[in-house]
Amino acid sequence: MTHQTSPIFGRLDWNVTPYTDLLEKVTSSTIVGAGAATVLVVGAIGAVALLTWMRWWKPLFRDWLTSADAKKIGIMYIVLALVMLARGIIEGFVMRAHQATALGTLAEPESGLVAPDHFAQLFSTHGTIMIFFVAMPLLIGLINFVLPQQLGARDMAFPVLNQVSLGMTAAGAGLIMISLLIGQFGTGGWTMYPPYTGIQYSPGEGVDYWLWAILISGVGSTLTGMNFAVTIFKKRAPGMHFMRMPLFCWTSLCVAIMLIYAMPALTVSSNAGAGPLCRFPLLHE
Amino acid sequence: MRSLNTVRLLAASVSLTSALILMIWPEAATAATPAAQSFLQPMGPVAEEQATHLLRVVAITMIVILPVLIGVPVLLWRYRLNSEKAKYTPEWESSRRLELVLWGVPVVIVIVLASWLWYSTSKLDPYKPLGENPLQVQAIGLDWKWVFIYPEAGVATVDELAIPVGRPVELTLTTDTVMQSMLIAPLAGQIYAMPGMTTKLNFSAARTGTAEGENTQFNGNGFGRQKFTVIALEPDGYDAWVSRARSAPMLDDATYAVLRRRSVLADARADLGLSRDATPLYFSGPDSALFQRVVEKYHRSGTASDMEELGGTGLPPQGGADHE
Repeated sequence: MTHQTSPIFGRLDWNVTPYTDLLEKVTSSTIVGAGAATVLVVGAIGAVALLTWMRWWKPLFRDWLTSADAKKIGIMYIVLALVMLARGIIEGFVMRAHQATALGTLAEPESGLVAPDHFAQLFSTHGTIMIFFVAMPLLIGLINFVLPQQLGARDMAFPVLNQVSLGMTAAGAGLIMISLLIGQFGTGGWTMYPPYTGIQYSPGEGVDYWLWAILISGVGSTLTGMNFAVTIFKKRAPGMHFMRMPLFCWTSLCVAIMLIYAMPALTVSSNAGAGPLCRFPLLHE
Repeated sequence: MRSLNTVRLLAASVSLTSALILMIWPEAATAATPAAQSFLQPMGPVAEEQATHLLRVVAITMIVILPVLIGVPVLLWRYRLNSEKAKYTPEWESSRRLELVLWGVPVVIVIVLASWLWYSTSKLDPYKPLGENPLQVQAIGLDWKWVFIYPEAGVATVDELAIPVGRPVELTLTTDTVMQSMLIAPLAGQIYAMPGMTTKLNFSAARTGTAEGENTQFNGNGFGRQKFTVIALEPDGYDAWVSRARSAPMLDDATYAVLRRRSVLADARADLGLSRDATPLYFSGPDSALFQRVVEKYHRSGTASDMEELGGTGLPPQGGADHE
């Protein structure tokens, strides 16, 4: 497939969706790809229709999206994690189904439910989603809901920053969802080790999806870690000494410290990458 | 369909059971499977040491795990609501002796495990030769196949590594593409290979047999089929293997450039005009400096024509006749 480069859209044209692949050749792999994109589109249209039909737009905006209440933000984190969990689980099923059907020998061409490249994308998105967009938001959501109440604090130390963090995590998750419909995801697994994921060996847009998703949500998670730590250090109710804190608060403090130390390193490395090996001309310039 | 599912279910339970049996009695595997795939079916001293180490760790960890697994149901039953035997002590708070056991035993176990791990790790240093005059083999990881060069015998293979039983082997690795990782589980541990760099892996085979080797670092579409056979032969069998390989065609730079394409073994064979199957390739008379030249390719910053030698350094072209 030749991509004509337009000055505005670059290589983005109508041929980037999995439907083009399906029209080119009908295989179980292209059917799975197009099916996933359809679920995404139908889900998005369905959500918009539901919000309109139930007249939930206003309450959604007023009571949830603009709310700085840590409990509500916690619930939204958990909803986000559950949506991503649904995709992660389905991907797990598809991968296992592929492994159960890929009974080819070393000499034969590839067999099984999905093509090798498709399988590699699946394990990359599955890993990325399960770590960064299920496990982390689930924990962060739970801590948001429980921590201020256990400390006797009215809210987080920086309630608006908390909203910003949620927004950044959701944006990262959104990017990964969009990769179902537009273009392809990277194939380097959730760790995306160079040099395989460098611009030379993975020239497509796939690794960029991962980098941006990790970069944006990584900034959000770093800010969340700081928010948790400052809340625990500064916002405890009178009489709530460190040694009177419930165990969960201590766990949260450990999580916060890990977030503060781990996420910037990850974010910076996905930003600057391994210098020339990596692929981030955008932020590297 | 149903009968197929039953067969799969049966196969799954059989493999689970055999895994358990292998844990307890590793020798069970030697007769059954054609190519050993696990360090629990050791073919040499390194894997044997690893298998022993795993069993030792499992046994020591059981000191903590078994009392918990047995103790929890026993305690639950003994201290149930209408138990008559158990003493009811609602004011009980702590016991020095119990605390000492609960903390002391795990601490001792961690110390024992850590020092044993330290000892085993330094003993199994992959860079340490296992004896005098090891057989030198050079391995180049390509996209979805491995090239093995025997400088001493003057032969080379693709996806087959033959070694004589009893003689230590020193493998020197590099790759001519992205990072790869070699694992021949029944013989030795995993080792990485990077372009422009070399790593070493020492091992030896104690008995004849075949083992499966593989790449464990994802490197693209053919990753799942990048497997190779390791054959441990008696010394005279090895000599016969070498003389057979010596009659094979030459490995020149042009052939190497074809091998470097992104292709699995079968497609590389097709590119070389051979039958498209997974039979390993043999070559005679490889350039004695081939390995070194492949490593040095990644240290030069010359003109484009310089870089073209041996297939260049960037993303290799797609191999397999039907792809182009």
